[in-house]
Amino acid sequence: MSSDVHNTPTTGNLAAYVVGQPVSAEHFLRMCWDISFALGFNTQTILAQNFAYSSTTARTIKVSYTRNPGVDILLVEVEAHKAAAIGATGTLAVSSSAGSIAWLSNRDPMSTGASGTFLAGHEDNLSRQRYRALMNVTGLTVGTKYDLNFAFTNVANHNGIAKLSVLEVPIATVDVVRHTAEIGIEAASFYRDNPIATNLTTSPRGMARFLAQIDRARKDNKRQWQICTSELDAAAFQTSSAAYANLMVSFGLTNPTYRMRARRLYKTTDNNVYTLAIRYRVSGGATAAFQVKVNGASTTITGLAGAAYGETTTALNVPCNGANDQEVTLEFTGGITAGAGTFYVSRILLVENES
Amino acid sequence: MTVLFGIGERGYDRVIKAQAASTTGPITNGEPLDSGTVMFASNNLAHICRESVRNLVQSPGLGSTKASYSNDGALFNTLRDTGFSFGGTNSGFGGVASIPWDPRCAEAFPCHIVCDRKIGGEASPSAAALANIGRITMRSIRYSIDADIDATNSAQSWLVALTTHYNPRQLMDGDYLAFSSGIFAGTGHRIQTGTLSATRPWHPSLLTPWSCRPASYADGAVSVLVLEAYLWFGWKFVGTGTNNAINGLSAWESRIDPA
Repeated sequence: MSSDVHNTPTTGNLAAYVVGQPVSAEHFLRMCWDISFALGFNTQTILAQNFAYSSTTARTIKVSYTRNPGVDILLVEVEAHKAAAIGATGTLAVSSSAGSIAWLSNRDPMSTGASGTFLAGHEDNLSRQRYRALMNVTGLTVGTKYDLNFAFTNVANHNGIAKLSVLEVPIATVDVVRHTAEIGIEAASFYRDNPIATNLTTSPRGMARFLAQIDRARKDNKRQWQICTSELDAAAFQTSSAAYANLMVSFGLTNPTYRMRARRLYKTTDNNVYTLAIRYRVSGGATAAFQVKVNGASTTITGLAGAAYGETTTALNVPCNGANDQEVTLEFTGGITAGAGTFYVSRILLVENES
Repeated sequence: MTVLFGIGERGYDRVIKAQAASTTGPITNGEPLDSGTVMFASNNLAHICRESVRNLVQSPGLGSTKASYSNDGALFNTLRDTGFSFGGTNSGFGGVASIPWDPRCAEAFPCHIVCDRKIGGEASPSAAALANIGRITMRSIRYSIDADIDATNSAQSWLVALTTHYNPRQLMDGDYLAFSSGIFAGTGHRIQTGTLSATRPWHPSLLTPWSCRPASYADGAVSVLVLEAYLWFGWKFVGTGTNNAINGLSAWESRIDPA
């Protein structure tokens, strides 16, 4: 590797690196901290928000989840609608499309086994009760996309979920040796078997391991942008229009424009590559199409059909050349392209696909 | 894990691709590290840290206004009570206490906050930040509110706040980390963007433990200290028209320095 570096600074950390001279321990330790930070605090992602529906019957919400390296626990926050009467109880059971997940018992109140009991208040119209629970996701493979199924059941007087937020809990320590799903390298450590120096025979070690972890920070932490509802037609995004129409207008008055910030790793002309995945169904035997506009540029998925909810994916390039800190606009529309029916979309997911 | 430093200095504004990390290559066990290699690594690390900003809120719309308010479960299209009296006068729309922050006029989203922004600005030299560790604060948060504004409103405003608690009363009392507000200009479909930023230094008293390892972990259950927060969106439509709506909400961390 060349010892040349572009735009060598005259102040700051990099000035400490003088070609031909040893690297100071202080600055290398700073890099150890940086890698822990990049990997540990890079991961937390809001996975899904604001499923709103009301039902006294059981409904399942499917949240897509691609586990990031090192993450063992998800924090789930549920906001309940005002109850129909005093003494409202419901349950929120969880399962995954593969692998295993489970509520953890160390945070109340959704701690009573797999059911996850949570209550709802009836005091007034102006408050909502919130509950938090922790979910163990160590049974899921890092980097694989799963569905997390949240199955709500009314037990008594419960009016369902006003909002469900799913967050990854960032990690405290990073240790590639102790934990197979772990990432990074321990920072300045009192462990005598600091993995940076440990002489392993099965994987890169020392500085090579360090570089490998930088590479993992680049490509293995997946940004996920997701909005979804329950797979209840009344709650799903929908349109019966023949033209690309206001798929999401049932949630307001105008089809909304969302914004997100693309992660730029390379040149401004290099896109941030995502996978776009939608869960949908089309009634009446019709055929539908889905369209996303990123900064006004369209990507369309055509030929969508099927009476039952299913998923389709396509690649989506998100530009990183925005004038305003790589912010991009996102617009979602859909339409019926053949036959007559209604196009329902219960989930829109963008998951980063850096490789 | 506590976050005490700003992110490292970048020599270049992108990741510099190098050889695949392995046991081969320019790095040989037992030999001194090449300074150029370390500079590449340091730059890449700093750049990845800088780009590690997250999406915080992506929420579908909360419905349009309706004359009678209900929170009995039929959330969508019943959320906004246009007849609601905010009390007092309708002036001071930008004030944090100008709305009650209840479900009629606000939503709160949980998150945790990462503090790695130098108070002097993202572009200030890291060395200065290292020399003044206490002057680190939260990243800037950008937000976008997609709304419809009824032409008959006498006033319409938006409010965004970041707190360390889910308590509207405390928020109304001014207990927040950052606050931003303004008046929707014009009527019809509007998209309002803005920036939340704090100037208060990070402080360890703000941290809350979150479990990050289950008890089945080899070393037992482990907690991480995070700055737990709620990001609040509030709005105030004054009038009896039914063409007010919150169509969609977005928020994300940014490296933009506040104006």
